[in-house]
Amino acid sequence: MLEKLKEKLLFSRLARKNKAAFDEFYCLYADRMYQYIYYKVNSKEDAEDLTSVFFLKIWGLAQEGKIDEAKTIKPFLYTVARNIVIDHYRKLSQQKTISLDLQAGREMDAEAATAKDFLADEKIDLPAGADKLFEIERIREKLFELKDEYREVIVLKYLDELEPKEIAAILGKSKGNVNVLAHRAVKALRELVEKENRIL
Amino acid sequence: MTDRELIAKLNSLKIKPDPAWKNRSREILLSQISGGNEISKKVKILERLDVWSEVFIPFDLLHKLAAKPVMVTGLVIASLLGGGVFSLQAAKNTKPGDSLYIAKIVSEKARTAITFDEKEKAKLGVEFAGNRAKEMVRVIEEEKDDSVKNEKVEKLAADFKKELSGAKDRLEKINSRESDESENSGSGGANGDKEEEKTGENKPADEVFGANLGKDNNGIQVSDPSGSVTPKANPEIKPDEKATTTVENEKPAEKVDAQVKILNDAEELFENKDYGGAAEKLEEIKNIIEDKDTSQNDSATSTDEKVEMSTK
Repeated sequence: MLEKLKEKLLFSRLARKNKAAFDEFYCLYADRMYQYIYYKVNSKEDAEDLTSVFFLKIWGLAQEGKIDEAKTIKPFLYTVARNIVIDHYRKLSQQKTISLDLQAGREMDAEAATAKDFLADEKIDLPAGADKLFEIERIREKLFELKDEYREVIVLKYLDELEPKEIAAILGKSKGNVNVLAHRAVKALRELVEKENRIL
Repeated sequence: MTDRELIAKLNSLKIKPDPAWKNRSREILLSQISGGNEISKKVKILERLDVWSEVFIPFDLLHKLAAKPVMVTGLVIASLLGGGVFSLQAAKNTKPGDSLYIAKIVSEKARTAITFDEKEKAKLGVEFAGNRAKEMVRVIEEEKDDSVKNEKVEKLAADFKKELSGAKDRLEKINSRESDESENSGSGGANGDKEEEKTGENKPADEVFGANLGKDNNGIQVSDPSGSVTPKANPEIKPDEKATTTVENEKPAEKVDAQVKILNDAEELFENKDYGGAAEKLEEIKNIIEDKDTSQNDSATSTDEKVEMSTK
């Protein structure tokens, strides 16, 4: 509750174009927005660029007086991030040539970085942690195979830990629909992982 | 595996950005919102001073440290290396792989994000494509590791094409919109002119601009369909008017052709690995877009003057 109040106050200062508040806002939301964007674009470099664009966009909206303090914070922020990703894909679709090799290289970089972070965070040595790491990476890989709608609801609910009503506001659905969607998404992911396990 | 077990594992999929990027990005963003960009220009000076004291407190700290030259020097070096306004200047001539290159790219993206005018965005696209071409020259000259060089060259080529195709699309859109607008405003003027309706004249769209200018004090059409002005109505403005009409008539087709042709030339040079030549071509088109802005402003001014003259 106190955390929410603090966030509300911070957002209110940000809406009044306070640069110190922008700094605090960045520290508070950088990880969260990066994660959300990463799972939308599946590229470390793009996620970094778009996260920076997101923060500039928020500052721009504050400058234009377009931040409504009465709005619920998280749905507003995630909607802005979502639109930035949509714009990004729109631009990509206009781009005629995409280097597949480069894309594959980026994904490998991201996976390698994640694996490294995981090992560092968990403080496990490779032989003991390798199985777990392998399984987590397999789930991550399958998560990207899910349709966008399922992947997004999983990220919002289980990784970003948003409340169903917040997710409902972001996705423009009812709370009940979000719960059903989340249930189906987890089921679809489990089936993909199990199918892969059977093959291996 | 049950759904519950899978959900427990999903928690391990959480990721965090690279801490070095996070810090760097924070500094760049703070310098962007505090420095000389368009957004910060709108911020009141008072608030700017207030924020500088809140975010970059070192001002009063600097006084305390003044007696400690080593610490002051360290602070200055840290600010130069660490980011801020200085780093953006320093980042201007960087190439992929340089420590400040990210600052340059973020700065470019930020400039695009805060630019809302399509013409300005097109100019930025041309400028950034030129940057990629210049970086390509430097990477090829300076990068020794072949695999790294190939990777960078490939990325720069993709980015170059992305910027160039974005700029082309924008220029074409702007030109088609401008020609639509000129046609609409021209036909609107003719439709709204009851005197003209009375005369029963039905002028072609490309002559409407002349029709609007060539009216005497009573609003009567004085130019003939060939675009020449009747001498007795306002003889002194005839040559200027003819010139203006010609520029307007040339506008849509020639503008698109000239600009897109140069962009295509630049692309061809780039594909033929003449990266320096491509950069020069892009500089040329950037100047043309800028000239066009100026000439449009000039012609707008002279048109106003002429209208004023003709109503005297």
